[in-house]
Amino acid sequence: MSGFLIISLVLLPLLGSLVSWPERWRQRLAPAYSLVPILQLLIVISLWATVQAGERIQCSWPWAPSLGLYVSFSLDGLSWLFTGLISGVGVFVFIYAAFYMADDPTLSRLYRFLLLFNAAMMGVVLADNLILLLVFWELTSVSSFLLIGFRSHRAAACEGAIKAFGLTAIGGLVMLFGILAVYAEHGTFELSVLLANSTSISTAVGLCFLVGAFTKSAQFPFHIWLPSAMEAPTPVSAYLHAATMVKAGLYLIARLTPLFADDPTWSATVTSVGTVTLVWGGVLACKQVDLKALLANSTVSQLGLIVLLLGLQTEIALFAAILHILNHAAFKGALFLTAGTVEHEAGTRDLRRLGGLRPLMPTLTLAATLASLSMAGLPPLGGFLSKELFYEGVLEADLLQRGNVSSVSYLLEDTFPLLTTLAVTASCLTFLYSFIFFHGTFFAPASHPPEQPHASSHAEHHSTLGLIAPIVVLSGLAVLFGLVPSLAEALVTPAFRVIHGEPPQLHLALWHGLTPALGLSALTIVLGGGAFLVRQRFLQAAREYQAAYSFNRVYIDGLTGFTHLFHWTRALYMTGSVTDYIRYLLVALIVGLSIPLWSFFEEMALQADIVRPEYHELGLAGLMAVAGIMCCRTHSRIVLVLSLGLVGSLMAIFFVLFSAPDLALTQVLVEAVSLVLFLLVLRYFSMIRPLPYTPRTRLFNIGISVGTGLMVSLLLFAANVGPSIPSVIPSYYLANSHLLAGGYNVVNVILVDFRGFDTMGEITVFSVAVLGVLALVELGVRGQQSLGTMFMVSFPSPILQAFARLTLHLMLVFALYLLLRGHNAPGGGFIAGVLTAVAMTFQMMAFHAESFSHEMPWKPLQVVAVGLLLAAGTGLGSILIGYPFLTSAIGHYNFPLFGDVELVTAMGFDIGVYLVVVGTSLGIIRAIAED
Amino acid sequence: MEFVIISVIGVLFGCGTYLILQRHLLRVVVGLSLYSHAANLALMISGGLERGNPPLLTTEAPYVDPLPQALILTAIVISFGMTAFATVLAFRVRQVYGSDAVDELAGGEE
Repeated sequence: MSGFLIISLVLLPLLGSLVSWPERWRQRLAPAYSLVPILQLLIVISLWATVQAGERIQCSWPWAPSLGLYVSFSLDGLSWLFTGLISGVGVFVFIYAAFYMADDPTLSRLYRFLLLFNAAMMGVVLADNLILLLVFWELTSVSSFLLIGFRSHRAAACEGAIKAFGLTAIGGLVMLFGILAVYAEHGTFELSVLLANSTSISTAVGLCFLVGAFTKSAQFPFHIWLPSAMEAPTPVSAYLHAATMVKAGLYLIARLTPLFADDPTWSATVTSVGTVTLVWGGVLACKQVDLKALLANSTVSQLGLIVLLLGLQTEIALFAAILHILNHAAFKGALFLTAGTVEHEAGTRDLRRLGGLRPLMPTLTLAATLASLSMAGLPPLGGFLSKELFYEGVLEADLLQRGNVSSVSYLLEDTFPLLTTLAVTASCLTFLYSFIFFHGTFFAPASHPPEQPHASSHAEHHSTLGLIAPIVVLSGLAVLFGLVPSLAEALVTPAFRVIHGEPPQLHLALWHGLTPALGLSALTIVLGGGAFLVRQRFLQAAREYQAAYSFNRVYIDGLTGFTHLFHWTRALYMTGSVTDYIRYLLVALIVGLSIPLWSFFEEMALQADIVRPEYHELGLAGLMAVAGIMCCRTHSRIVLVLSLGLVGSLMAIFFVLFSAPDLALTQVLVEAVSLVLFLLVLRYFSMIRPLPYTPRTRLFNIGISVGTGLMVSLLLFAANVGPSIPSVIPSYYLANSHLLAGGYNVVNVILVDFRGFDTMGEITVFSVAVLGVLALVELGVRGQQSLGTMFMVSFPSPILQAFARLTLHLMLVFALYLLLRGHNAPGGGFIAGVLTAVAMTFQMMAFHAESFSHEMPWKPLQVVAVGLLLAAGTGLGSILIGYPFLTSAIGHYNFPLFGDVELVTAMGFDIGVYLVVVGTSLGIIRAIAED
Repeated sequence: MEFVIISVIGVLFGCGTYLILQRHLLRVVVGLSLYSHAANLALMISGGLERGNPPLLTTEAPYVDPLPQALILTAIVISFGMTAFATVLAFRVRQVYGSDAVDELAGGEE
């Protein structure tokens, strides 16, 4: 049951994002998507008791177990806190969006993207399998990309989306390396297993995870994507880029903290990156004039604060970190929504033009001021609690540093409390920008009247209620956490126990007595307040100051640099010439083969049985080589084709010499058909122009050719030089050819019986050739010179015609004979088929091709189809009577004149092959001849 | 004899490569045909060379390995189909584009 609940946390939004309302009611029904986070919140609340008891709920389904992949989820205190954040803030954001974009037709799409994100985020915090976690992790990047670029007609939105996606995707990739390294080392992807065994993971792997976490949580120097992400609609900024997604990195660091508790590098890296981000983000936030930009940079800073606390790893620091995650979600969510409402009502987010909204929006003013004060860390608000703890944490770290060597030793001077100083500085900055935010918006005198004066008259009209209520609730939470510390403590404790291993010793309270932390808080208020009062002295200068070289510049220059680099390298080798690409392949082949061959020939020993060559064989081989070289040397088309024919004929002779009568027959007949084919098209090719290439290219071509030939020779030499491995395959075929398949010609039996299925595929491929040829011919421009008929009729020869008439039937009968005896003697479907094609071609050459095809009873394609069906049908016949495809049946029959005849069903298959070969060959020749 | 044939295969492969690298389409097609001849020869020697021992059970044992022969037989027919297709393709290219030089056709799609 609990497993089902966890799954439904992920599945509900996933299914919800698939729901699409009908066009007519889309706008009105869109807010119904808010049901999903509400349901989720109820589920999360129902799981409270389990989590409070410190239990862990797990569920797992096999995905690819042999690879260590499981769809496994687990929920403990830490996950629970995040699911609460995702669903809780989700509820407010969803309701707010309904009012914020009430008239926007893209509202439904926004909701569906938000639900996709919600599912992904739930997956991240619930996944137990690291790969599953990464999948959801990337999915949050994808949905964030979609949401930032939601207003895709704006260039800045697209740039922001790409920047955010690019940086987080790089982080995800680095994290994948880390995950794979963990698997290689420990053989599991399950977080729970790793945590239960307190596995020690090497620092390098830890750094991989940290890169992922830092990019996601916008830590220095990856922070640049977060301000750019503010192009997203404001509810998105509040949800993804303040409350939830940017916390995924924090979740990961917190989740892995127990594994790296003793790793000084981990803790030093996390602490220092967090500190730099904290201060730098604060500085940037103070400079901003855009409300959302201010909030974005302040988010960067606050995330840095939490990262810093997670890096300290002490009890107080960890507790403060989790508490601040909770606080930050409440007040920053409220502030972002405030920025949205202000923009919605006043038409601008520019601090220089805003001001004086207090009398117009009293409720909003109160809520936003409270949230800002919580961010500034003033009592008695939630932010004060975490700020106090934060001070205690850094003071403790600095004291520890003074006493003995601490993990952050290289960061801190021996006596100077660097960390505390930086913490106070950053807090003053926080104080400053918090005050700038609410003072500049609500209290400062309106330096410029708001563009939409309707704000005064309709300040609290119906839509504004929906735009203010979620802010009031979120601010209320920020106040509540401060006034009732035990509530915050109860929420934080289960998560804390997961990270730290034991329940916390400390208790939250507004008044701790006169502690150093309280002193620091007072100091912050004094310094921050002072800075606020004199802000006019430096703020203007700071805003106008443009750094010569910012991190954004680095990003943009890097991006264009990469693009140029790849354009340049691509231009180097992508010449657009196919011949060049073949050259690359061949050079790669030569180089790739030479390395293993080299090592082979170093330790080779000649062991094969070698057949001693006869003189005539040597002569034939020499002739073949010469014919091959002739092909290259000649510039005459006819010599080229004839030389190729010579090579083919010599092949046939070799087949005769070395015991392959079937091959010899096939080769001779195929040569005949090919020759006709070449002669048909020959005169339509241009002359081969001499010296088409520069001498250098020619030399290069010859080099590649010689190299390729040499490599192939050496490879074959290497393959044949060793002792031959005795194989059972030939002896099996030889022994069973007659026993099982009733044939004496083993080659034919292999083709039609043992490997009949292969042959089936081969004749199919072969018949595709005719389809291709026909398509090419049909696709061509009609009405061009019809070369075939011209060729045929231009040489009418009575002698040829008489001879053709005489031989046609002889050849056909001989083909039939070859077909029928094929099972027992050289012959068979392939050979008979090509022979028939030769006979028919001969007829076409002697007579008019078109008149010949009129006499043909069937079209070639029909013959091919019948042949394929017959071959397949023979095979299927054996299935019908319960044997595997293409099993042969053998029977003896006594025919008059022929005597005892052994008939095998494979014969039907062979006839199918015959028909396919006839049809295809004829189809090709005829297609060319008639065109 | 094996080594003689291996050398011939090398020559045929070299010649085929040289032809494939040419610009005239007909030569490219011929190069492909030379490749398939060379490949068939390579298959032939893989079964061992024997004179006068065809794999016909009606003759006396011993027999040469029948498997490479079955492979070559289909290879011959298929390579015929391929050569035919390539020839018609080249011929068609010549007809439609008015050129049969590889480099003159390159980059036409951009």
